[in-house]
Amino acid sequence: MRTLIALSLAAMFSHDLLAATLIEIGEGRAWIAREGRIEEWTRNGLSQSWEGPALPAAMLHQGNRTIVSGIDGELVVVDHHSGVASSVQLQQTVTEMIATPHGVVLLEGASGEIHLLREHEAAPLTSAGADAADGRYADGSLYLYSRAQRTISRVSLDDGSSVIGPLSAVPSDLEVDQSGVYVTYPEEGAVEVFDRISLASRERFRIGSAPVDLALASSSSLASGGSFVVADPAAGAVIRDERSRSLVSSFLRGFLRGLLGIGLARAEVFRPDGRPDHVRVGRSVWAQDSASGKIWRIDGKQIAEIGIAPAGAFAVSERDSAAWIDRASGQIRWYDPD
Amino acid sequence: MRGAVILAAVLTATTAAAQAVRDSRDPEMRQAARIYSSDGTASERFAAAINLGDLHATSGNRSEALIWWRRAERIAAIEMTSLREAGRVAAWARFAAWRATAAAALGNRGASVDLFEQARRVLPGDVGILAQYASAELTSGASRQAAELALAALAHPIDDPLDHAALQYTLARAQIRSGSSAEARETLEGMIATLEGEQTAATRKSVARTEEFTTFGLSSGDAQAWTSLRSRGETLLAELLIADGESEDALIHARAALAVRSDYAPALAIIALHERSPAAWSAAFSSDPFDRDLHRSYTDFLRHGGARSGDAATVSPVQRVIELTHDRRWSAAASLLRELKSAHPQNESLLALEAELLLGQGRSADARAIIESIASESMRASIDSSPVISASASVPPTGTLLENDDLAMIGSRLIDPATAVATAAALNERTYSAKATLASAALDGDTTTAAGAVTAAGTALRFPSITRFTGDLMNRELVLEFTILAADAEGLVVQPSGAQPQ
Repeated sequence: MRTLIALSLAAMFSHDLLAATLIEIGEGRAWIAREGRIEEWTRNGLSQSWEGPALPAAMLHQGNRTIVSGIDGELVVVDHHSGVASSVQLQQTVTEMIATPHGVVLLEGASGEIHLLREHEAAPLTSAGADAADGRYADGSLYLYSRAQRTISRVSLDDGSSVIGPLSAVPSDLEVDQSGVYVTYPEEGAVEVFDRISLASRERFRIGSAPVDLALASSSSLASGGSFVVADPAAGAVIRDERSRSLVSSFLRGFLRGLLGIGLARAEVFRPDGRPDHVRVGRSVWAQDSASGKIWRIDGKQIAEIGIAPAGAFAVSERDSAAWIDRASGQIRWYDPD
Repeated sequence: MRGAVILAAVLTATTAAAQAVRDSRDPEMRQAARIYSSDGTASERFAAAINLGDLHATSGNRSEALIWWRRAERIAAIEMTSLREAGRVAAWARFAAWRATAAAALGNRGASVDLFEQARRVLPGDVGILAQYASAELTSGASRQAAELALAALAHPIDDPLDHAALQYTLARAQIRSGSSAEARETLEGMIATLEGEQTAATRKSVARTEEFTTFGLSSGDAQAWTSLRSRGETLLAELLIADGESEDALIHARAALAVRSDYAPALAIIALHERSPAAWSAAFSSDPFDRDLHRSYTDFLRHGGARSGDAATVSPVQRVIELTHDRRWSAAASLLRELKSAHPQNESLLALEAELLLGQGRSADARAIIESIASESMRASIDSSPVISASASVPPTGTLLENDDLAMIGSRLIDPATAVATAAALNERTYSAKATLASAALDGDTTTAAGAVTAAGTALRFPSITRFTGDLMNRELVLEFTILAADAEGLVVQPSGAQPQ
């Protein structure tokens, strides 16, 4: 899960008051898309707002612009230099936007069509197959999957060429690190890791009962393979485990750890008071139960309930600052680490 | 998955104008009410409640429909809470999708979309949830989004041909509403091929057996789903073919629909319209008297000079109201409508007919009040607020012919406060005629649309609403028949009721 971007549709469950809400943070500010508005907030309050899509589907803040797509195909671009918002109507709904050095990738999830937005022109790139989701960027390529075709794709943003590999089940999330692509299978209670270049399956292991969301934690080193965390609402747990379990790398790490005397790493299970199904990582791990709206911060062994927000309507920065919409009041709330 | 997809198809079909419900829906309602009141599972009670909502909606009873949809939504919400607490997230996701379906029916699209997105995160491979999502978006009026989702769902592996056909039906309806009728035709042809494929052979045999021994309303399971999908798909295709001017092929498909479901009102209406058959119209009205599509078809039929049944015993009261309104027999139409409303006080189809009757009389303000009281948006949209006047060279106007001097005098008396009230009372509902030419007219096919008319000597006649005249009357002198509603410095406001080209 990206740390700066929280893309999700969310609901306010106070009786009939329900709305889609997206939030992003960065540069000491937060951007919210909800109920036909795009808002920019600082710690002092609402600083600016513009008209936006009635039902936002995806939001991206990049440099001096914020882009929000609507369920009904509207794409609103806010230019923060001029303060002007412009709107275009697209043929299909852009369900995800991914910032890359090549431009902004627009993904039309239903058809799987991928477009590359440079300046003000969106050029079609390729299709990843119907019902596509969870596009992630790494080293010139976009990684994503098609739920309909049960495939994972690596798409070159230079020429649109693709490498496609089969999935063993239908995934719910995807993340990429330097060596592998991690995919969750909630209906199988499993995570599968693919080689980042060939997309060949490297390992598949059971974890929890229904891992819905996955985020990558500390990066890999010789002594530590790095870790990933999954949110598992069926188990009512957030589970942290080593990133790569491949025999050779584990053996080498175990050998090195033995030499250093720091012992073998093993999965850690955190059980907050709820059913977490969203997870983000800053310096600590953040999780949410979208049904109750509870947000927890997991720091070391400590689990602390921080607030209650609509589903997925919280964002965490790399520095572990967080912002969310308070479900009861609709107001923004901030968290800053000590 | 079957239940979810078929349910989805049924939902979208019924929350639009009533298409598939007959008078025989009463047993279905009683059965659903029994299930709802029983000690059945939450799934069974949810299905009963949401189906009851749909059945009430199709019979024009929006307020009762809302009550049942809210009950369905509540059942799903309670079940979601307990399943979540128990960690049964797969079952939770299915109830989340059902709750989303109820939310869409209740007009809460934001909640519906959110719940579907949450459900899909937990069960990303459940194509039934995706199918329900497409269907709910169609209910919410988001036809393009519905088409996208239906196409995405169809790209998934789907083993069951009936589920496949149900999704194709949802896609076709979304394509029609998006204005892609050519694609919709292809989709419907594919749907019929699916239903006629080898995989449904056993179901078709079951349908044949069921039709031999019982009525459709009592059949169930795959046979009922197959029959419902086949009759709807064939009829929808027939309607598209008619729009494309391919009437002969349309009749073949309408007959194919009736072959599997002999009392399907929309198919009967197609046969009635093209064979100009009073008996078929009567059968259609007997099958579903509150179907607004049927009302519109019959009104058009009458406007184009269609013959009506000479046997009053075969004409349903609703059909008769439409005939009386067309004949501008306002009092008789209003009287019969009052009787119907006393028997069906919550029925919005009858309110729509009442609004059309008032609009025909030129009582726009009263009509507006009725329209505003109608909760269903699709029902409001079905009201023909743009009156159509049949221009007939063979039917002479019946009103008193007024000369230009008469019009000028009436105008001045209506403007003068001293004489306005008495003059208005004297004019009340009396029909007049005058030689005139349509002003600001536009021609679209065989219809001339105008906002008013100018008499031979220059008096301006303004219509209370944009009015369509069948026939090309642009720049032609005609005798216009009308009632006088008001006057101002610019001329008279008149409600046209007939026109004869000169």
